[in-house]
Amino acid sequence: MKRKNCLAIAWTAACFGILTTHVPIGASEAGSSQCKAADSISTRVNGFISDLLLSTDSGDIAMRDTVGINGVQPSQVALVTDSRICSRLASEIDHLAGVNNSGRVIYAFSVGNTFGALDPTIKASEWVQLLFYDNHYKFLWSVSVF
Amino acid sequence: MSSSLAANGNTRLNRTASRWLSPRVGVFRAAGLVGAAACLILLGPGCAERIPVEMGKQALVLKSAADSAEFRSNLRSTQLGSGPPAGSTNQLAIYTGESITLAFVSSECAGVPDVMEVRGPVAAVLGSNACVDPWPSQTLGPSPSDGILDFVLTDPRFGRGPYAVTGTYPDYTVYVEDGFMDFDYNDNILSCHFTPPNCLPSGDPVLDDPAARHQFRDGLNASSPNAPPGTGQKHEHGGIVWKRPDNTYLFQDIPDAGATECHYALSGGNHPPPEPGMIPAGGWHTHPHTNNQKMYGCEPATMWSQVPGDHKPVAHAAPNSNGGGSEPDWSAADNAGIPMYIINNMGRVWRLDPNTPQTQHPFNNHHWNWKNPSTAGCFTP
Repeated sequence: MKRKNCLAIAWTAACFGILTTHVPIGASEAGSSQCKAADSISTRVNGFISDLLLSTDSGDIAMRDTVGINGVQPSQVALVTDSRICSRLASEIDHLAGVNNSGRVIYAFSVGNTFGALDPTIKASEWVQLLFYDNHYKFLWSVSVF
Repeated sequence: MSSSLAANGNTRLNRTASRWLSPRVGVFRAAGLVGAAACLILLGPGCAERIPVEMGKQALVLKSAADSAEFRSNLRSTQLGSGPPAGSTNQLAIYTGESITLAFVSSECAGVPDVMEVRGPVAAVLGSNACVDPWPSQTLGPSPSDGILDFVLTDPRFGRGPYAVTGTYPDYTVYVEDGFMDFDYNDNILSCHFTPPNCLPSGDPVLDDPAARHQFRDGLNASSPNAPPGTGQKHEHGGIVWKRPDNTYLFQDIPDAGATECHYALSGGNHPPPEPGMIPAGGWHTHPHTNNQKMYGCEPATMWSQVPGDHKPVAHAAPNSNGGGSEPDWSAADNAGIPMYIINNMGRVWRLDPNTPQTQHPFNNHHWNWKNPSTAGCFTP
């Protein structure tokens, strides 16, 4: 009897685990999108990324190498509207900020095969940070934008 | 120490120095008896009273490095001077294109021959017997690079000592110690006058003042812009730009005890003009970074790396983004109603004008190059 209970609990836990590993991507679809729409801030950030991609400064080139965006053209920068991507990036930013499920709404950009994410409330002292993630949502880099 | 000179037209030598200059002293020196015997013979017991003695050793008869070291390590505190002059600093920077004119003011030392030199981007031997002979003025420069001037007075027995500087651009007084280290900071005293490079108008009245340019660069130097991030040396500096009635400017350095690599805040409260008649013309601060350089110590500390190796994410700088300043920098200009001047280690100076629309911040065209400009030492649009 005890063994049956244990098995049941194990199966339940396993199923729950499988479900939770798949849920986050689509979780926000039921609610409002965590993607910020295009506005003056997204225009500024887009401009920042474009300048970064075209810069001949050695620091910028080294950063592009690290992030893996050397060779990406400004025309390949786009505001992300896919709520699953924004939700996942928002979740990663929550992790960075040490909070859970904040429901933050972010500006997300696809930059070649990477993502740039910006929440105006995420600052390093006075500087709002643009956060770069790879396509597995691994944190790569943080840079001051404004 | 035991001799003194003044270059004010009534050069005076005290008795000991006079004897050093006499032919008889030369005989003694040639005989290897240095100065003590000469002093005793020529001046008698009164001389010995003025020659420091420690552990049975007279300063003038130390013959070996070991003698000197033992003597110096046993110097009594009662023999020490009061230290560097009040308000002095321990370094003087020179920037590309600037020239300096160095002039002897006075001496108060007994080393024969003490050698007075200036080292750095411009260098020269100023006097080869600087305790005894007033040395002629020299003009050096234009400086080929930025750097710190090192004023070196070398005693043949004790080596060199430190120096201290008072004054403001373009006129400073330099107080130099030799290695005797009695801390009276008067072994050689000299004046240092700066001559700026000729610069074309920058289009900004503050930046057209050579003193303001020098002080702005000093502010960046004080931020240790080339120190490795995360070592605790690099931090933003800032203060107020004051305008004098004669349309010259002063960059007042107002330290922020809480300044970090990514933040400076002008302390609250009243900031009275440093000189009567001055009015505030701007704020200023430094961004001591290059592009994508790591910034440690940013807030919140729970989120950002405070020191290398703490396994937290590291924020990076982009000092030329957003028109040269963060949004709080722009807000500071708005709130004060006067421009915010920012110098960064990318070689650029920015002016953030108040009430600039936020959408225009990234397109701020009020910037000048201080590094690799078309005219060395100038702030070039």
